[in-house]
Amino acid sequence: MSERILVTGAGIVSALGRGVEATYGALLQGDSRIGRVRHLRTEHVECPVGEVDMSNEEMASLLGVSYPVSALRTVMMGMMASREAVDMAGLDVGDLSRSAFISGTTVGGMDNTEEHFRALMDAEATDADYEAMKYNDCGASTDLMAGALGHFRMVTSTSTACSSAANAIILGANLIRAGLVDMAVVGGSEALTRFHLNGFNTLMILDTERCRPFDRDRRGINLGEGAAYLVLESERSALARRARILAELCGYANACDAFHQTATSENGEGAFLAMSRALSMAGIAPERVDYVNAHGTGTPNNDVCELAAMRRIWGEHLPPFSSTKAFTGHTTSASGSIEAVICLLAIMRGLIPRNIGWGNPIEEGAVPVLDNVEGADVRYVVDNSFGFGGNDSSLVFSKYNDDNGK
Amino acid sequence: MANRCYIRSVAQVSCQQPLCDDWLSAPLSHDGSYAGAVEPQTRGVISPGDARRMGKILKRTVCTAYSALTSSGIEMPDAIVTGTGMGCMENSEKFLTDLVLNGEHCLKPTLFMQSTHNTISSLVAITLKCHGYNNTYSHGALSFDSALLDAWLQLRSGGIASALVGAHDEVTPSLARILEHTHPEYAFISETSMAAVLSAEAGEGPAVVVEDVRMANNWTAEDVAAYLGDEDRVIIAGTNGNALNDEPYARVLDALDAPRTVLRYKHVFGENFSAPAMAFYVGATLLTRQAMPAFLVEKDGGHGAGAPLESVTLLNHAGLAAWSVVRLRRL
Repeated sequence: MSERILVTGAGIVSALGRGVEATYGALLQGDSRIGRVRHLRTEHVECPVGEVDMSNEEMASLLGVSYPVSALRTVMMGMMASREAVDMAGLDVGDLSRSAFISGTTVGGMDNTEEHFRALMDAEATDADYEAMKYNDCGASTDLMAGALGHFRMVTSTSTACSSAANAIILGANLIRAGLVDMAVVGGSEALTRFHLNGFNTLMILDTERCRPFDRDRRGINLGEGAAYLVLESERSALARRARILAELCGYANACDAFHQTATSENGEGAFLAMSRALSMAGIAPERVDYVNAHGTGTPNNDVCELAAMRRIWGEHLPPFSSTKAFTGHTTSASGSIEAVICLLAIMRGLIPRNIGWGNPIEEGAVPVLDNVEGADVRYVVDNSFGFGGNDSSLVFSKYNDDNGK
Repeated sequence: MANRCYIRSVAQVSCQQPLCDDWLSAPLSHDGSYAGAVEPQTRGVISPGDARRMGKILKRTVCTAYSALTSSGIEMPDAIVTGTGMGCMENSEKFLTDLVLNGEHCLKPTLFMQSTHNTISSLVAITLKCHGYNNTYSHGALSFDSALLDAWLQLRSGGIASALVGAHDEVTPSLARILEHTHPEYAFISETSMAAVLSAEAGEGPAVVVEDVRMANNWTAEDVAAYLGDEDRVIIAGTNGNALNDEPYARVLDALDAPRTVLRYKHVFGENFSAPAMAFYVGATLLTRQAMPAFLVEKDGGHGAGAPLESVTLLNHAGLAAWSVVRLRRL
């Protein structure tokens, strides 16, 4: 029997607010936090977004950081969320030295690059312009976040677009299973940037109204931003230090759709493989899943293909499912961990969040959770994250059960 | 009992002759501080239409992957794991240039679609129709080691039986200019693509295994030296002749008791975030060929000429206290 992987800490910042409690409160209230862009300087004001409602200056002041970190929104959000996760888990300096820090991001410091890029292209860049570029690649962002927490045994970054955070979680679990570390702080962070807002816009998959995941008339994504981290820990370590156990990560898998860089195959092959391999690792029948937090971006392509993949696993009787992207916006590289925190809340607090914006089914019977369900006995949840390139990851979290009975 | 992790094949595109070992006998020398890659022939591997649409890094990736898979005898790997420091830099730069100069309208979708870091690994999967595990690491000079560690762990545990592992970085002229400022420890900047096929089963040729992969974020020179055992007699180090870069390596070597033979590779293949993958390529090639050309030897630690090369240890310093150690062994 290989080592069981437990979740002993969580931290989050998104359009729903700062911290796990604020996130729970906002989900319970049930309103979308998507709105008109306020902090990102973009011409595309017609595209609603899910921003973390703080300016860079406010974040820097809250964190007590100065330049260069104060110019790196991805890093600052990551610092907020990872600090909360580490504090919740009660990790001290010694614990960090037997831990990994793994963060998923794709844009990294692209927002800061945008500010200096014109000068850099003109070859009239100042030392300050070049200095800024030291901190803008994915790995540099992660190093800054990890360094703010302390000395980790190892640090790395995944970058697989919208499944980045989920893949960071998978590596963390594999490192613990291999015995290389006892704990791993894992997740992702992604700030809104003009680069990817415009990128998604060129693909014509941004909705100018609030997104409508799984609705027949859905027209696309609202982008969001944020960060979330989990503390994963071996059962042995968690029990030895009497850690508070939030949940178990009992299954995970990544598979590639291998179909197209930005579109999903009709039968959702990659999504199907990711979900079925993760469930198989968890060792449970699909019928035992109490909630699926779907990727559910609201694009015509994703949602119909994700449904097709779910049908291949669950047939006619789909488990309760919802996309929470109409709450937060699509937080891209961070979505895997932000939605993992939402899944933890489902397990810990019995809250199955509703799928905002739904009116008509894509196909008969494919009705997501329309009203918040409170007080649910949620034992197994599936968290889906699908990225460009058909990079599909599924995580299975469960209520921790120390008698090992499944 | 953990499975072994055999290196079935390696392939490279760099500032040396592509997809071959010509550099062993006739290394190309480059003047100046930057050299682009010598492009591989794409004919027979990529259709002309696709080749027109694909950026340089994508073509190099497909060519190295195809070459490594062909010589490994493994057509469909169970996993594809990739490292890249900057991803599809050329397309990102073009998209950003359009954005900054022309504003937020009339931008080109293709540039964005082929701009994310995982475009590279995904393209290989799409080309092969490979539905296995697919992941991409982007963590500076530890991008390749992260990918290797991930695949190595899964191979050892039996989760997968084979993997295509690689690291790829393209360096545009403007990125080269930026790197000269942001990385004063570099000596010679270049572009590199490397693909390797790993398998739990030995192939037909000489058997070379990845024995250990270790990444550390907080090691002193003494910690590195303590991790290196007596068996690490031949070390491929990331030294480049620039004191800013070489000083941490020197401290490690000073802290070692016994003399070691130290090889270098960055003067041949150059440097970028994916360069450590070239140390892996060189190590695997030397063990397979039982070669140790003099131009690689930085310090002769008494490895007798003609003596069999049993193992090679790759030592990579990735800034501050971050290190990686990879042990390759010939069985």
